[in-house]
Amino acid sequence: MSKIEEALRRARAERAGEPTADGARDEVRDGWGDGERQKPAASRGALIGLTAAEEIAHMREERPYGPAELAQRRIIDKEMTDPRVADAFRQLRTSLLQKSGDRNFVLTVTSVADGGGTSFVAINLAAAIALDESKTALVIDCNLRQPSLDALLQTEGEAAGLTDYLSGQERNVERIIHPVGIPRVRLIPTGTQGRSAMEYFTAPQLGHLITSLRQRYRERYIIIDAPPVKDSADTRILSELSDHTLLVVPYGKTTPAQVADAAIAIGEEKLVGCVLNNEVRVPLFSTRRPTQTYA
Amino acid sequence: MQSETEQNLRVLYREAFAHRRVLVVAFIALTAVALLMGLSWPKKYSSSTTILVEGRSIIEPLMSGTAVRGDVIDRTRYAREIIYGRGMMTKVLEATGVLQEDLTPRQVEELIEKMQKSTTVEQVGENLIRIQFSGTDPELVYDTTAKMADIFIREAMAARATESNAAFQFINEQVAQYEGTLAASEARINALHKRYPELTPGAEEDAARRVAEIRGTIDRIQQEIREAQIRRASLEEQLSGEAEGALMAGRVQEYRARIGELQQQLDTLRLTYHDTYPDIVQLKHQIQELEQAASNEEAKIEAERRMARAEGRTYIDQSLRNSRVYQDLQAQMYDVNTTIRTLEARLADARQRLEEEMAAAARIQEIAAEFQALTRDHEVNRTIYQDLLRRRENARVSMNLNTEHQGFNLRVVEPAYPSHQPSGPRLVHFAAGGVALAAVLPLGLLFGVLLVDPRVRTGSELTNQLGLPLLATVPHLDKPREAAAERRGLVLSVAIVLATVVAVLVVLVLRLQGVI
Repeated sequence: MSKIEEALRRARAERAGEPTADGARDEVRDGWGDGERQKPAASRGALIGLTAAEEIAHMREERPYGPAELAQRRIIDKEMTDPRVADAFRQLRTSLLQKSGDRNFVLTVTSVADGGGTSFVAINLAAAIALDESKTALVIDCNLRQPSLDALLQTEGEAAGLTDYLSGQERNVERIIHPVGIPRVRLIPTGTQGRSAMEYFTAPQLGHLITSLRQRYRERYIIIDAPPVKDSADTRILSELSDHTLLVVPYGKTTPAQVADAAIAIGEEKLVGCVLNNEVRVPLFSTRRPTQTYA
Repeated sequence: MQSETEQNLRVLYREAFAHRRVLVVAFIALTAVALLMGLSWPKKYSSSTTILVEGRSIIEPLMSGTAVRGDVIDRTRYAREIIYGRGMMTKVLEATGVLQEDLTPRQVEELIEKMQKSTTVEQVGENLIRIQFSGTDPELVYDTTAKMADIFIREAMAARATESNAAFQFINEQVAQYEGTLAASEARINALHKRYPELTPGAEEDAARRVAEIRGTIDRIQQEIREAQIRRASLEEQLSGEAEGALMAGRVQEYRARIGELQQQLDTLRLTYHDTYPDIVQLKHQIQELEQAASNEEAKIEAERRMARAEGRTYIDQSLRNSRVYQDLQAQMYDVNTTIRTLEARLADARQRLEEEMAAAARIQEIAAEFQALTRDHEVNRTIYQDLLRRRENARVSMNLNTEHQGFNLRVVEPAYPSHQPSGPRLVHFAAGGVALAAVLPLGLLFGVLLVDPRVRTGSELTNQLGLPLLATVPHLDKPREAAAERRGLVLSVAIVLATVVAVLVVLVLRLQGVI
């Protein structure tokens, strides 16, 4: 959880006349490490009146990953040795931004088949969007069967997530938004409630959540990591709730007929395009070594 | 926009990288198999010899123009017939010492078959025949090839001598046969001469001439007969005409003349006298009597003539027979009759002669035809006979030439050579082919599989086939350790392939130095 969010939460709490839950803050602080504690309390209050862009600029990660750690987590970075993947995601980002115009968007990323790499595409697309320092991206992991993005969470233990919110276990939206160590990228994990919470997808709360998350910041782009379209009704609901749906086609795994079926299931209206993922590439033998320094 | 081929090749390149382990293993396995095959391939040595054949059949020039040969000699076939023959093969096997006494007939049969299979006979030029033999033992191959050429030449030579002998014998037989024919036809001609002595040259023409002459004679005689008959008819007419004339000039005429005289006297007397004058009366009386007599006579003649006419003969008054004219005519008449009879006799004679002559001429013609046929046969036979005599002398010379090997025209142009280098595919071929195949075959298979596999591997399949917008193509992203491993693996793969090639080269070098 970022300090900005905490600051905002505190400001709201103060306006509501609620006393600040010190215990909760301490709890959070324990997870955040030393950097937070050194900051004076006055600086937090000063953030309240900032504009969105300024807020984003102040969204500093408590524990940002260095290039080596990002590479280890298969997340793109400006300083990659092999720029081909990063270039592909930049191209994807640019295409999507062009299609949506000035507005921020809600994008569902789904796959033709299992193992299509939707989570990889979703988080890297988010990272690519957030490379622009004026933009921020929020990834919602809706793949309740295989919640693969949990590994990115920097919090200890189980983090509250989407299912907690939808089931009413956690009413505070801020508590389900977690940093993942990538600048300006946030994640709503699946949560602790397990697969039974899938039923809540039909509930209007999901629509409300998405709308409020989107309207909160103009420069926040919301990316939903959805299960494969062919065997999940959830994906269609999610697609309905979002502006666009991106279809991930895994390289060498699906036939054109399967892709066509998936495209029909999504519908022409929502389908923004395809991404051919995980294409085999012969590795580059570049003289440029990855930078080993950590930020 | 990439072409389809280019795209396919790109996919192949990427998939080859993805399946590099399988490809490398297949490469090594195929190379090893090819190398082992090359090492275990039996070494085959071959040797060849070329023989010049100036092969014209002896009987051909000898018999040209007289007899036509039905076939053209195919030298290669002729050579093959001899070389592939059991006799020749057995002789070669004996000469090279392969054929042992203790071999069973079945083993001998196998040896011969094997030898036939390893021998090739081919025509390399107009008159050149190449005999090639191959086997595993270079010494034996050389020996066999040389012996094969020797034995072939000897056999062909012997066959040739036999051929020229046979040619001479054949011509000789022909000569004898024609001699017999000639003698027989001469005997028949002589017999014919003996049987028909009249059969001289020109007899036929003579007979024809005689027939023509006789025909002329007959014509002449007939003409004369016709003339004589005309004369006789005219004489007959004359004779009958004379009779009538004489009749008028006969007694009736005399009566008429007396009556005329008396009438004159009467007329004279009447001038002076009356009718009653006695002289006149007397005269009148006399005239009356005379007239009576004349008419009587006339009646009598008429009766006689009628009678004669009824009898069909010319009435000739007896009195007239004594007239000279009549007698002349009568004489001539006799003459003509005699002539006619003579001529008729001659005509009959001539006709008989004509028949005889014609029969003789016909017979002569028959004989002459037979004679001519005989003569013609004889002439023809004699011509051929003389020709054959001349050819027999040529054949005798040819035969002598061949017997003394003067006309021998088979010789080795290029002798058999000892072979040191095995023919056929060698280890280097196997190695090169194996490496090439090992490189190409797995890639080809992979390419085929990719062509058949319908799964999506290129963005254009999505855009072109399905009409879906393609926003990006994301390559596989490895974790740093994986990427390093990939790179190492790639280097290792290349190194392994190179090492395999080097190993093949090492094997080749060892083979070249005779170590393996």
